[in-house]
Amino acid sequence: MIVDKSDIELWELFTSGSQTAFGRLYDKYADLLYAFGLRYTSDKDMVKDCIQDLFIDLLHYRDELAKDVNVRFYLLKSFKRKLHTASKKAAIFSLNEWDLDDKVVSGFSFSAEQDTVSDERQREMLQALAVEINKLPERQKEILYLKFTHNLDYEEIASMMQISVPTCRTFVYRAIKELRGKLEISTILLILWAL
Amino acid sequence: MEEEDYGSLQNHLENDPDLTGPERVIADNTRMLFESVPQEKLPEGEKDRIWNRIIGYAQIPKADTRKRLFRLASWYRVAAVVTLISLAGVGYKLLKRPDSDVMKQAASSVSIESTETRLMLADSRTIHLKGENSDVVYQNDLIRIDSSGVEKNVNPAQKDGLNTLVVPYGKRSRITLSDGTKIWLNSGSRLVYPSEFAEGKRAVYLDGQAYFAVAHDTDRPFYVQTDRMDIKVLGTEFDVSSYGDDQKVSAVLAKGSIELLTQKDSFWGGQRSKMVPGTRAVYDGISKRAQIDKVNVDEYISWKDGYLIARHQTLNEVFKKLSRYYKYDFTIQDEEVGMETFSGSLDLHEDIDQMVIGLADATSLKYHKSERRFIFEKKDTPSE
Repeated sequence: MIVDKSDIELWELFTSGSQTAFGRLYDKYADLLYAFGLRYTSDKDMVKDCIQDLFIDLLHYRDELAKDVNVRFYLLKSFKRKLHTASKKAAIFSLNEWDLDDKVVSGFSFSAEQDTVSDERQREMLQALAVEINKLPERQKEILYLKFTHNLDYEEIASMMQISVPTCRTFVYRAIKELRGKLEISTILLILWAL
Repeated sequence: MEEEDYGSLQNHLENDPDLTGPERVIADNTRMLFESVPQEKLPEGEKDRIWNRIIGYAQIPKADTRKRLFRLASWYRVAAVVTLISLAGVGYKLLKRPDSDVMKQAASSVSIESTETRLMLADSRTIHLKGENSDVVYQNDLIRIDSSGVEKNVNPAQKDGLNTLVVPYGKRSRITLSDGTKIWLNSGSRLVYPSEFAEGKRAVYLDGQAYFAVAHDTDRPFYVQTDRMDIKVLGTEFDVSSYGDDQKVSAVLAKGSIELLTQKDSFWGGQRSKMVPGTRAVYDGISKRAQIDKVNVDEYISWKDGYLIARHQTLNEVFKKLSRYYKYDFTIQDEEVGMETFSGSLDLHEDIDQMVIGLADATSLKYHKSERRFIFEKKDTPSE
């Protein structure tokens, strides 16, 4: 929460003309946007171009920007729109490498990092979970990513993915229930017990 | 503030009354998993560079900026590529199969930066191959070089030892292995192979691009191993491109059938996919997916006959290939121009200056040359 508030403070300072606040926002968000962008495309140069483009836009439209926003959500959403436009542009040139129809340009994929979790059993469980998450439909994976990695709420995710809030909720529930169905009961019980 | 509290409560699926106990555990663990996934960061220095450009644009009057937005300095991209090449082999994970590991190490232990094609034998003899295009043939325990009569013996004690053929930028080489398999190596490639294959399996390691015409041998499947993707073959012709500075590994199948093994170093084992002739598989190192599409095979394999065939390829792609082939830098001043597409066939046997004149003509660009660099830009036209 403190982090969010200082985001808002920075945002207010920035929209009223502070260059320092703008720099702080860039410092805080450049890497995050980069990682976010690479979930959608593997074209690193394009992601960098879009980061640059986004912050230049912010500077230029500073006077017109709303003061009261969820900064992270606002940046992610604007950034995703930039990526989408840029990738559509790129798709015209190389049909092989871009999926034109899909909003998610390239697939989500991730694996649990071994060294962050020390407990052997939990690691096994997380790995099993990762396998199942990787099998979920792309849209569901995207929702989980926005929800858990970026802490966006249903309204925000829905707006970002251009779906309705109930649909968004349903997707999350369905994903969780599907994961639960896939994982061995014993594994879950083990964790329940471990908790 | 109240709104935020509501948001956070609603955000925590772990406490959601609509979920059962085990489901909440799943939600909790899913969150933990997503939080533990390492987030990629902007490479060292890039963050500052982008920032400097943002601040740079802030000084430009509003009306002019839109045009300049996507014009990134080509210089820094070249720098990035160079860094990637030099980093390749440093931060690589151990693979599960030891032979591929050893071969990979052999490949990364020799530098691609060289003026001559080199053949490094298992017994640590190094043979320098002259000329732009070289030819190496293994036959009856002899190595024939460039059909020029130069012959070397295969060291009988080192028959299963690893040899490395290193083809620098600007050169090409063709090699015929002991089993009769022919491999055309494109510029900037390294191939690791034994003088003689063992029973049961033929395996080579490739870094770069090569066209394979694999001799048929059902008892000994042929494997092409690369950093991120393995290819299993019975007898067939195909092209593999796996440059360290490309995000993507690709295979184009001309004849026969091959099987891809991707995600080599993932936790839960690799993924297999079969390919049919006339298709191209692109494996993306970041999304960790192989996508197979129908393609015009010629476009991808024509380099082995000394042609570059492009169908709606961006100038950036064409120039990337040319700079590997000729070992010249190709720079485009205007980022937008680099995104324009080009179709046509370029004769790579031609002298580079001749080829560039033709290319400039076809693209209506002007260029100037400075040392080993061609700089292309728009012809002066009345401003918009």
